[in-house]
Amino acid sequence: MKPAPFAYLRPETEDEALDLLREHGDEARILAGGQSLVPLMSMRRVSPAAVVDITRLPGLAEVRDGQVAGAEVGGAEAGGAEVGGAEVGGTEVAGTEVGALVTQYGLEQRAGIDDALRECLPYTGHYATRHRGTVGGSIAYGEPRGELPVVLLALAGRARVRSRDAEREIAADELYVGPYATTLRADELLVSTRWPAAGLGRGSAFTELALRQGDFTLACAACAVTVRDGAIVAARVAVGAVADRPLLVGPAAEALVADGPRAAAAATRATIPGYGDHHASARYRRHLAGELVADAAARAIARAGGAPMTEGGADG
Amino acid sequence: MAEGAPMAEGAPMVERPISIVVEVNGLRRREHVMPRLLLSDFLRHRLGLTGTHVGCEHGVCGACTVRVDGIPARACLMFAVQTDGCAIETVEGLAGTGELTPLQRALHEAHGLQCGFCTPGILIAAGDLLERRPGADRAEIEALLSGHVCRCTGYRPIVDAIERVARDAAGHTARGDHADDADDADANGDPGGPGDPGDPGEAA
Ligand SMILES: Cc1cc2nc3c(=O)[nH]c(=O)nc-3n(C[C@@H](O)[C@H](O)[C@H](O)COP(=O)(O)OP(=O)(O)OC[C@H]3O[C@@H](n4cnc5c(N)ncnc54)[C@H](O)[C@@H]3O)c2cc1C
Ligand code: FES
Ligand code: FES
Repeated sequence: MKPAPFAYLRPETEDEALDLLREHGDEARILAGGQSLVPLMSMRRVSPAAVVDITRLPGLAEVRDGQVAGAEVGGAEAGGAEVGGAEVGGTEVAGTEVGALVTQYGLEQRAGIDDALRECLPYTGHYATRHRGTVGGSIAYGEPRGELPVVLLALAGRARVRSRDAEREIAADELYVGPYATTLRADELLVSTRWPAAGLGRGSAFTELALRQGDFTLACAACAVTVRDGAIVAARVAVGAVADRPLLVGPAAEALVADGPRAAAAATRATIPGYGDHHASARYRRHLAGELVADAAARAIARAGGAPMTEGGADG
Repeated sequence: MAEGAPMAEGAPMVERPISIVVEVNGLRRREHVMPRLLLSDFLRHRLGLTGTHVGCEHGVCGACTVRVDGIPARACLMFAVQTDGCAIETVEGLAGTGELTPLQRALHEAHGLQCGFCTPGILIAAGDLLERRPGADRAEIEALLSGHVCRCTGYRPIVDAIERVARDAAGHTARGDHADDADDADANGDPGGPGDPGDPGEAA
């Protein structure tokens, strides 16, 4: 239970960090909160030759409210669902930009963040681990049971990453490609994440079940919806801990727009692979994920100002 | 690049000892450590501060919880090199004067410990919670304890002890947040109150 030897590198500026990553990216690991990396190293599941400690880099622990680019609920991207012709959001929506080193606990204390984001944070670990664990680390690690990736997917958020020569934004939809695998390159540093906030006619919610709060979840779900004249015109649904990666569930979003939360639950069950371990069977997790989707959807709709169930013509 | 922390220009990527200066419970120490030395092992084996217990060594049990620059941390999830220039608080620092802290006294009085293995981590974490949120309610205390494994007490007396200190801090104001828990209301003489169950998702 002791890590293998490694070289400890502590850059003091972002440029220095990016230089180190360009040079050693493949054999080095970035150390942020360490709440996932250090246990992995102690168990020798990973043994990097070098650890690049980014915790003292300036400017990465800020939270800013403002416009975040390019995110819209629904829209044409895969996994979102939208009623034909409805214009939903723009390419610039109000939101929050969260520096990579902002801790899970720190963000939780912050007023004015999106509802689903606020709701997921208490579940991201225990009191002490949330004081160290970073939002950037949670997104970059891509834990299949992680809450923050699920919410980033549901909100159509984005990750800003930098390498020595370039800066780019990765849409949540393009981030997760396998178990703990993301499209971040080894020479890239995630500098911030962008979280669209709920606005007029938009609502979001997150919910999960874990054996103890702060333990890894049995299943979790996040929904974001846009409601117009009482009817859902666009939706995104994402679930965690039911597959090898955080998952956007396109059919559930379509069912939600067409027939409401119960239909979204059924579509979730029918779509997701489910995954079983000693805590819960795949069948149980599929069922649970469906119920969590229905719950998150109903609350997101209520927050967006829609009727809790669209069936029954309450959308007058 | 931090003094001592980086490798020299062109040096191979090998582990080498790094000089750190830390303040542990108010005492300054300069030490040479290998990067892979966990803070928990540094405290216990190098400094002899064995009050910081090590149960799981992967962040789950909470026994090793300390504070680094006033922020709670699992000592098993930090490398000692990371604490260079930082102030570390361990359980040994709590009753430095020989006088128990209110929380230590409350745990003693409420039978909040038996073997005591979990106690140091709980003292640090709960102490931190009570500092940040002096009137913390029972639900918050229970959520905090979800990160601390206790094999002896069944948790109830620990919750009671922390709540007692929180209640004292809140000036014995009756709190209205566990009206649905008649048992607690009795055991603690808490009259409860018009709880606002509401939609938990909508709280705050
Ligand atoms: C007891 C316990 C319970 C937990 N429960 C949960 C839970 O329920 N849900 C959950 O989601 N998590 C949980 N976690 C993990 C969570 O605490 C971590 O904080 C999170 O997964 C990673 O964030 P970190 O800052 O600690 O990253 P680190 O551990 O430092 O890094 C994790 C990975 O991300 C990479 N990385 C980190 N930051 C960056 C960056 N800025 N750019 C590029 N790459 C980066 C690292 O190289 C590493 O590969 C738990 C951890 C513990 C110890
Ligand atoms: S020993 Fe550190 S949390 Fe268990
Ligand atoms: S008192 Fe023995 S583990 Fe808590």
